[in-house]
Amino acid sequence: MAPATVESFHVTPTGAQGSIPSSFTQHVHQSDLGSTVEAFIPNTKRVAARPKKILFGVIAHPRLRIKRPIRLEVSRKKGTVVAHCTDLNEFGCGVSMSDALDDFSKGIAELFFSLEQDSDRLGSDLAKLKEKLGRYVEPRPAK
Amino acid sequence: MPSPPIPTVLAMLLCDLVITDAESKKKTLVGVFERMYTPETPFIYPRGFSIYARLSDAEGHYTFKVETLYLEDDKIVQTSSIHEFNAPERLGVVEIVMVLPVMGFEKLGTYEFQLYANEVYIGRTTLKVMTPPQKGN
Repeated sequence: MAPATVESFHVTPTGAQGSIPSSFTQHVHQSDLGSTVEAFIPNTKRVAARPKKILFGVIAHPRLRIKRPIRLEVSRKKGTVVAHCTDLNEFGCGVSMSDALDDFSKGIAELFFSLEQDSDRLGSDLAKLKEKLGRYVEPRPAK
Repeated sequence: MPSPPIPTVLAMLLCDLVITDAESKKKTLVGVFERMYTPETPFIYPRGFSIYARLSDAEGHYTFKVETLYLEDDKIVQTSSIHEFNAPERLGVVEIVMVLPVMGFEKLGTYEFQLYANEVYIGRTTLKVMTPPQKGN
């Protein structure tokens, strides 16, 4: 079966509220490729700050998947970006937001497996953490 | 109604062009790259390029969004979105092709294209904008 495909999209310059000046508008029709594109030329002058909160949906392990998004708070301290989940009290850090998110993702994958491995001898705090983590992460079913 | 599952990104690439075969619907990615050379900034890249993403675990209705960030200061440069896309089958594959006709770059450095499904971060790819290498290097 052919995969589902998206080829049409809409580009909006960040920070532009309401109407966009017509000089920033461009219509591109690529009929020979079977796609139609409507786009605005990006306005790189108008930028927005990185949001401090992010819904995260990546797990760095092929045997796991995310059940529901993990809410993270992202902060920058002395050149290091920290992504922190207050619910799990877990964090990841790195030189950029993506490094911090990768670190967090690897951390929770390791945490999931270590809690699974020791599940029969966990104390109450770790058992609670395992239960919380299980709300966000689950093993990928074998196909 | 339960929210749709969070898709997994199998691949996310920047390329010059994505060609779709009319009969088989297979995609050909032409000119995959991860860096761009410019003698000076700011500059506009006039040729345009495409973002190709291949996802699994998607089923139901999604709004996909790509945010372009300048990584040195975490500033969002541009947002692109696809509204109301329906993925029919979770075990199938979803391919996203976003064609960016023209893009401006204010500074040298690393730009990141972050993919979101229903406002949930699911993956990224990066682009380095740099000065051309010196001859002889």
